[in-house]
Amino acid sequence: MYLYIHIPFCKSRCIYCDFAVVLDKYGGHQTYLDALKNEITSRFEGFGINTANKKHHLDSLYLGGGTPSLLPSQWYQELLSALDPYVYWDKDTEFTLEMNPDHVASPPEAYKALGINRVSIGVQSLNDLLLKTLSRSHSSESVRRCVTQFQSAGLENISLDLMLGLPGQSPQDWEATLKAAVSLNPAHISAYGLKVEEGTPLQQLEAVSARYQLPEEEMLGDIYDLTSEFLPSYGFSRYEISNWARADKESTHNLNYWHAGDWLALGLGAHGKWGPHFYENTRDWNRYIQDPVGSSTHQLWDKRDQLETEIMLGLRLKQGISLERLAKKYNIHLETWMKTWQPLLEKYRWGGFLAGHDEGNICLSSKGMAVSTLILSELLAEKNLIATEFSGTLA
Amino acid sequence: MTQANNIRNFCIIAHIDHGKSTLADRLLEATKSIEKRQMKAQVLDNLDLERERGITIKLQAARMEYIEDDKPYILNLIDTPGHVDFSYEVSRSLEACEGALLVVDASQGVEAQTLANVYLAIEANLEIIPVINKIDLPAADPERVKKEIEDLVGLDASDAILASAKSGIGIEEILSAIVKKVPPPKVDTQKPLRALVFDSYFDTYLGIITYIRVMDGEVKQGDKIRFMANNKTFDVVELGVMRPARNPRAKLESGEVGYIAASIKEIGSFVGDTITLANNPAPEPLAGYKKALPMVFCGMYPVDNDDYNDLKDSLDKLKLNDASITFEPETSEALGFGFRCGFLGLLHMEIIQERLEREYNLSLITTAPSVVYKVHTKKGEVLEVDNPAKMPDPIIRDFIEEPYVNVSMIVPNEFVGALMDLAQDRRGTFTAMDYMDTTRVNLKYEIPLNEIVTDFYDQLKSRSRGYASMDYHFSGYKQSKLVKMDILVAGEPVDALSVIVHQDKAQGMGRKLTTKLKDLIPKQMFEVAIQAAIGGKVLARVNISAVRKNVLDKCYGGDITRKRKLLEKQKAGKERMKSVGRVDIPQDAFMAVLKLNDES
Repeated sequence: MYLYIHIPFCKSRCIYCDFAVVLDKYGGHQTYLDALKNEITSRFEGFGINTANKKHHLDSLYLGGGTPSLLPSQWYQELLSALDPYVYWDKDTEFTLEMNPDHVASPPEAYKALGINRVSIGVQSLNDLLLKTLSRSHSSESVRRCVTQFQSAGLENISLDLMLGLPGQSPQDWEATLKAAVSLNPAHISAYGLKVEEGTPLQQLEAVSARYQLPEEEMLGDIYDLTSEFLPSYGFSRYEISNWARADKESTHNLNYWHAGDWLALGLGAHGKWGPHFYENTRDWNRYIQDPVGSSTHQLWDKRDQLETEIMLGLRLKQGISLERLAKKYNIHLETWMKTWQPLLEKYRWGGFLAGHDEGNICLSSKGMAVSTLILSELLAEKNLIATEFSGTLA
Repeated sequence: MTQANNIRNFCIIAHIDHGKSTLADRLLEATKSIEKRQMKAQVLDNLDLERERGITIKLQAARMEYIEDDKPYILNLIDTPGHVDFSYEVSRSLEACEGALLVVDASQGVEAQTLANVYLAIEANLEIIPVINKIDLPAADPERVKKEIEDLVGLDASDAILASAKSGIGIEEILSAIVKKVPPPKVDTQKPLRALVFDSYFDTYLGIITYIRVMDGEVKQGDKIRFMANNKTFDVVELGVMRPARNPRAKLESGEVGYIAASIKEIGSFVGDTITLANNPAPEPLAGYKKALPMVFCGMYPVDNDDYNDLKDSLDKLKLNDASITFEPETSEALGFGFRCGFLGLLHMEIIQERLEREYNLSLITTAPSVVYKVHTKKGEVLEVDNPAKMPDPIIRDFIEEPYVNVSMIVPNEFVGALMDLAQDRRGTFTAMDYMDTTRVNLKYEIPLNEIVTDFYDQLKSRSRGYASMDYHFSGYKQSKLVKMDILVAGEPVDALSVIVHQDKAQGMGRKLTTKLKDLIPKQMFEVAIQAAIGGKVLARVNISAVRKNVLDKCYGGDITRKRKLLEKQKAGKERMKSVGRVDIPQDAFMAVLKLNDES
């Protein structure tokens, strides 16, 4: 079983951020904890995961944010006690804490004692000028200090989150950040392109100031390509569009998303999926505090939603999707499906967008990953395949 | 009982924006034909499209009751469209009337299209009542406009009515003038029934409804009627008058205007036909109409090939109340199965395309408009070619003729130079320049129709800051040095993008067209070359570079639904494009040739 818990507190809001975030200066840690406890009971009971059955083993427990490291280990201790009646975790559980290098409330040992065995640090860049542009509070130096500190405490399964395509960033800048990142000897690197989200300060800044202009598409393409050339030579292999890991250090938690598995999610603005049920918690603090489950919205996915999601997510992965498996699972006639997609797949193969594709498997090359949205929109636009074949929910 | 000498049948002739629809609204209000609260602005403009564009496309009719000197009168207003493309529709409404209001804007004066329509009305022997509208605007100059009407139209404008439809000025005078000046219809209720069908449309419940003007005799509910041209008989289920909604009556008699519903389910062409009684037929039908010939042709293809039959049904239905549309099946290598459709003009074409998309919910690809070329072969045959893709090979061609039109442009003095440049650039030959008064000129050119059907009208408007108006009439075929230019996308010729162009303009056109296509075709996964070529010779080439990056990098639990929505949007965009080989071409690229002079 996979569990995500959202910790919305942040010292300040970064200019590009559109997550469910609340400013830490307003407090509310205890209030939030109470609300989370409330949600834990309702969700677990609601999905019939109660104490009458035997406790579920957690394959993953992920504390994401926000800035989860803003809260001290004692706070988590109380949270985990509330989970105890339903689930258990052990050394096989991937237990991740997301961190901001400058805002860590407890020493590494204290977190480790909770069972946390993986940390994911929001680095974004190791260029101090670019960090300033992004309004990040930390410096490249505080990242180094933080990584060393956790490594010395024996918490070596560290992931660094990096951002590319930043305003004013050149391929050389990006290469320098990649070099600095690998020199810290992390186990895992995530590299995302910066996106200007609706309603963020960055959107307004970009419109008025040259300093916030994102790189042109050609340069962005170069920066993007650089990542897939650079990281493998340092022993990181790309197992998903934006994720790179040393051997056996892939994120179990995130792999579950891309395998279209189920997960429970708790907390402000969190999204969870349990069978065909997809729910979305409110991002409104007051409403969440009052009634975490009652204020959430809920959808029932039909087979088509599920299949499309599974294709969308599966093609993000290095190993791609198995048409044979999906055809069986969704009861689609495999030959018809293959025939429908054949001209497109021919085109992709011809253009070098596929890493390998035999009768039953499709996976994208790095060239294909760079334009995966185009590919997906073409594949899924073949409505004859998906629209007509089914309705109703998957058992 | 309606006495025929109490009936007045009239129409309104006006230039676009000179206030015809507003005036019609006021007349309906003043005669209490419609409650004020029921009024949408511009009641007669039934189609959404008409209200939006502020122009009347389809003619409609309305019946009003009015008392003058204590005597009741029936006034039938038959609406006419104001645009040059629709002169055929105008002649249809004129046949059903005895009088016309000529509405002219008090500041803008007589426009080219108004002139054309007034001449039609004079030809049809209509009593014309000049109305000078918008007299309450600061720039109004009614005396100048009166003089224009006298000089240009040759009508006595001394007692022209000064009005403002918007403010309700002059409405009573207009109603009174209609009663006094427009002659009552000549009636003969004893003769066998003859009714002229001037419009028809399809109603889901009643089937085809025809709008008629009864010339002779009378028609009652339950009568068996015969359409004299197609010789089909039907039982009258319902008949009545339009107020302007359908208002059933027991009968319609000589001189009256109304509608007939007769459970006609089969699609056919009724407009212009004469209705008579099956058991007491008239010996001769009415004269009917001179049929308008389509001058502009284009291909219409469903974006989704599965919609082919829907497109055919929709065209059938549109043809019902717009007999001037022609269409026949054609195929294109690039676009699949579709229709070659003929229209009276460019606006007509755009309106039909929009109606198909909006009212019939079809997603269409329309190819660039073409005219009908006469291709003389070396064997001495003459082939009519209305699709550039079908232009015969140069080896078998002897020469090509293309249609020319006489264009009349009414333009303020200061823009004469700009419009002469335009006409010259479009291979025009100057024929005359008449001074209308001290400020305006009627500039006349003979220009190949091919040059008019692209963006001539838009250019005329933009180069005269909206002040010029134009009208054109077919003048004849002339031999021209024309060539077929192919457009190659990723090395493959795309038949639907071929154009016929004058030899001297081919180079420039090729450059402009390929550049425009580069703007219109989105970047693809591969670099794509766009070439313009004549025969094997490439005249112009541009490259569309490949997409480097289009990826949703971040996709975890909370992002999944959001990312799916983004994907849905992109997917929907894809569905509106046509895949030609490996390249997705959006709908508007097939009309690129119309947009060569747009700012971009």
